[in-house]
Amino acid sequence: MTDDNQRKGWIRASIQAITQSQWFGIAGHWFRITGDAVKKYNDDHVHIEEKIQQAPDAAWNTLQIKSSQTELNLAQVEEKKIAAEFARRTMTARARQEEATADLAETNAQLGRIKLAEAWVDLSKKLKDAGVMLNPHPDGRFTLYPAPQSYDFKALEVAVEKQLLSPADEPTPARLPSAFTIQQSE
Amino acid sequence: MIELPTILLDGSDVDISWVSIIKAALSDTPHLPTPPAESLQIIIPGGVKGEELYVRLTSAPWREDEKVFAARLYAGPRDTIVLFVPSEPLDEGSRRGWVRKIIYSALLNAFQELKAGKAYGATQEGRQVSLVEVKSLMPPAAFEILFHPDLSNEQIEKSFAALADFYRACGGTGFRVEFEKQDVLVPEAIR
Repeated sequence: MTDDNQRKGWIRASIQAITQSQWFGIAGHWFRITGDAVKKYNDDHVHIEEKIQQAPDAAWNTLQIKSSQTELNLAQVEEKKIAAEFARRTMTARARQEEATADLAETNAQLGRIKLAEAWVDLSKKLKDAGVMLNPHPDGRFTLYPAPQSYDFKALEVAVEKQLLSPADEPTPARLPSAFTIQQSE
Repeated sequence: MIELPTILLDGSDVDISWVSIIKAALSDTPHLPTPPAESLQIIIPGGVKGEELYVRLTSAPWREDEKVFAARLYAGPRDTIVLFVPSEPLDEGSRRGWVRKIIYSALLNAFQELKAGKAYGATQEGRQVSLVEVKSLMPPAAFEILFHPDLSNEQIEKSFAALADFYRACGGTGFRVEFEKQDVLVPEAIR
């Protein structure tokens, strides 16, 4: 630990997906894949020093006031979006069926990857506009920093997009034992 | 001994008896969730009429082309178990009874083996591993976001909203978020 180490007050948010089936399904899979791609870019291009610093007390007090309002705003916005998402998914049976068919087709085709890449580009631009650098960790945590001036958002966007569009990270099916195929017994 | 206290049905945690689960699996229109792309499935060797039957525990994705009439168990974190049955409708006639018998037998075997701690799993490479080891392959059910103290309210709100929107674009509904103000020692500096 060096002399210029400082103690800093961070805001920690515990995040849980609304439904576990989504988190352990396609949605969570693509979210984690994208995080891994961002992590790979950061590992290759960003130097993060293991410095631990102490913040002055005044900063901690300021942070507490700031975070309270932030919590309120952020949680309210997310709740509204979740409600809207539930409403969107609670359509008529016919519409749901049509959408399910479309979703299935997209999932099984390259179109799904293109859609994912588009969503990533949108995320990347929003992070750039906010001036925030996303730093995923192997254990699933994310740390968000003010983006350094040298941080190349465009290079990040391209690198991750390329990886998302590559079939290399396509989940590979397990090797099934031959006995797994069960023939009909007459 | 592996406890299996909770069953996930239609995305909601509910307490349900094994008998009810088996009944649901055997019903014509079981109200069970669609298998996730990456599901852990418990491998239990079993057999009906000389055929070997496996319920697999693996992190491999669900294969749409799998024409396997077997019940599937999904062992998630916190010992949540999700039961899956084939997405294909059961055929009419004698085949239905045969398929139901297989499912019934597989479920009974699976629960007995799990309770006895005899279940084993396999990685995507086909390597057999212990149930505990396979469970450790699961991604965490929740994760944390740590916001740097120098981030403004606006930066925090925008970046979180962007992440949640991206998760929705991936197919999720959204995130439940709980904040904690924390004075922690963490790696901080970025150059």
